[in-house]
Amino acid sequence: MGAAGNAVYGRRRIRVPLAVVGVLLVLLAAEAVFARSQPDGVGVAPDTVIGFGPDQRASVQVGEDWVLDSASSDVNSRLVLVRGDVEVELSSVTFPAAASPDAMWEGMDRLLDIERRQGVTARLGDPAEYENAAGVAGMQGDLQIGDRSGQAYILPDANGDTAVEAQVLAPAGTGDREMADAAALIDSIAFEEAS
Amino acid sequence: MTVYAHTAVPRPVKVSVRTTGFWIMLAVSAFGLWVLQHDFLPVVAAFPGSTAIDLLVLGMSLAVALWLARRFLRPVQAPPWSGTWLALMWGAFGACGLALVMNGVLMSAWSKALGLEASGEWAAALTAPVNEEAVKTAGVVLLACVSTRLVRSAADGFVYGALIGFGFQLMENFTYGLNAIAMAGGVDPVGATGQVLWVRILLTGIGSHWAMSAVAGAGIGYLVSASGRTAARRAWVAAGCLALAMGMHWLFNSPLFSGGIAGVVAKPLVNFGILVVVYIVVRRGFRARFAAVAAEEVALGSLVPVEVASLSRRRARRRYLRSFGAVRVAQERLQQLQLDLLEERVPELRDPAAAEPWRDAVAAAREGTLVDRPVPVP
Repeated sequence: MGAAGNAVYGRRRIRVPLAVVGVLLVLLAAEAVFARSQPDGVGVAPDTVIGFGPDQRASVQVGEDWVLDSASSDVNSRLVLVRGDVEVELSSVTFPAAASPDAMWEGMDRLLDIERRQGVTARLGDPAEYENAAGVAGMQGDLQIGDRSGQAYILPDANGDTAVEAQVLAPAGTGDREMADAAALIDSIAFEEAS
Repeated sequence: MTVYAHTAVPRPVKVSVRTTGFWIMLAVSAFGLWVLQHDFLPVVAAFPGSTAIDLLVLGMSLAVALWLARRFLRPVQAPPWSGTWLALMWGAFGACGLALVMNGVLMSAWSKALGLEASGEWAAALTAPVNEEAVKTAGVVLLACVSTRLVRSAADGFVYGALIGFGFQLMENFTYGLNAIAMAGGVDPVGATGQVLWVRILLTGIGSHWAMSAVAGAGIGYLVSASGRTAARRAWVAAGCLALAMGMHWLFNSPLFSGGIAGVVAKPLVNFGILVVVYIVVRRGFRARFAAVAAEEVALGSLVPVEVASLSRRRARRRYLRSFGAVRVAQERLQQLQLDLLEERVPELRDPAAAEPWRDAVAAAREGTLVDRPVPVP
């Protein structure tokens, strides 16, 4: 034992801290290897319905050739679906108190301030009323983030205290068919009635 | 001419900047701070109202954490301020920043490996107990390398583990407060931040990071202490404490027993119960050793029984000092030297003769020949 009564003395005061760093690096490397050994995206069978959000009350029906970005998705809050260059991000949000449609749209614009503070161009157009094929009424508007553009949607549930916020983004020049397929995803979003 | 012999106050270095451990703590904390600012500075700039409430709550929580850790979590006396700030720095920046990177890697791996539904339920419980307990416990080990005096007993490990956990918890609360804004769709950002902080501090704070890392830290303190136990036994106890801390974290994050508000409150209470049991064991061991060395010093003539009777408890020390009236300041200095002497004797394998400078200082303080000139102590 060292003169002061602690086992880390002499050469150990050099070796032990280096060993600590080594252990943390090995742990991080092992986790990175494990993550890389898994496929990045999972192909979703056509017409699969995926529930998401709190209690998975929101759902989306996925069409042909969509890939679920597993690494970026969390069933409790967010789904990211990719097809070619088109990316659809569906976020389940819960408001602190029931919010009006205008407040929801303003909130979405406010969140884009985070992108703007990072020097990324982010524009959200004026909202227009929107109702999808599943009968959920909400709002829709143009969206641009960096060099990708598309549409933003807000689809609140019947109570107005939760909503699905969707961003459909693709590079300029993406074909109308691809964008229409993405819009079909938004059309399928529905809410399960709260029990 | 009369020649007086003077004795100087032994003041060992509590945190040595000339150690590998110190610079590793500083470098990793700087990296963690960079990770945190990279992820959260744009949110801070975009939502100043939420940031203000977040900082206000962080400041108040820090005050409560310091009071708890320094007043209650270490028997006899509080840990030195240098070690306190170093532990908080590691928890808030080093551990939190590293955990952010490691969790990002492992969470995405579980999402891919387990599938969307299973990972949504289990990814947090399979990630945080491993990564977060590992990085927090690493901080206690590094503190033991920064100075031979910061961590010398299970009680030291317990309080530094708690401080690292507090640092981690405060920073995590800060980031969760900011994350809540996006989860609320940017609507009423201040309200969203406030709601999350309320839950994380008042409902679950009692059995969160500080409790888990205090348990793991106690094991590290036991491992590095000169307690006279075999290396194998100390290693097993340390491994057991780390496993227990990981188990507490797993329970906290697992989807089991999570039904409603009762589940949210019950799990932290179970963790707090485990913390209290570990605290009682650690405190009893420390106080028993403190009483034993105090008795030895009385036998050696360096302390007198009436002084020893009041030394081990903060309130008793204050009461004892009050009885000295005008000469209280000198007596307070003597009392601190006596405490330092006994703290030096707590590690069981330490040669009692090594505490001679402290005995001399106590004797000199009684005689009035102590000078306030620090002498280097190994």
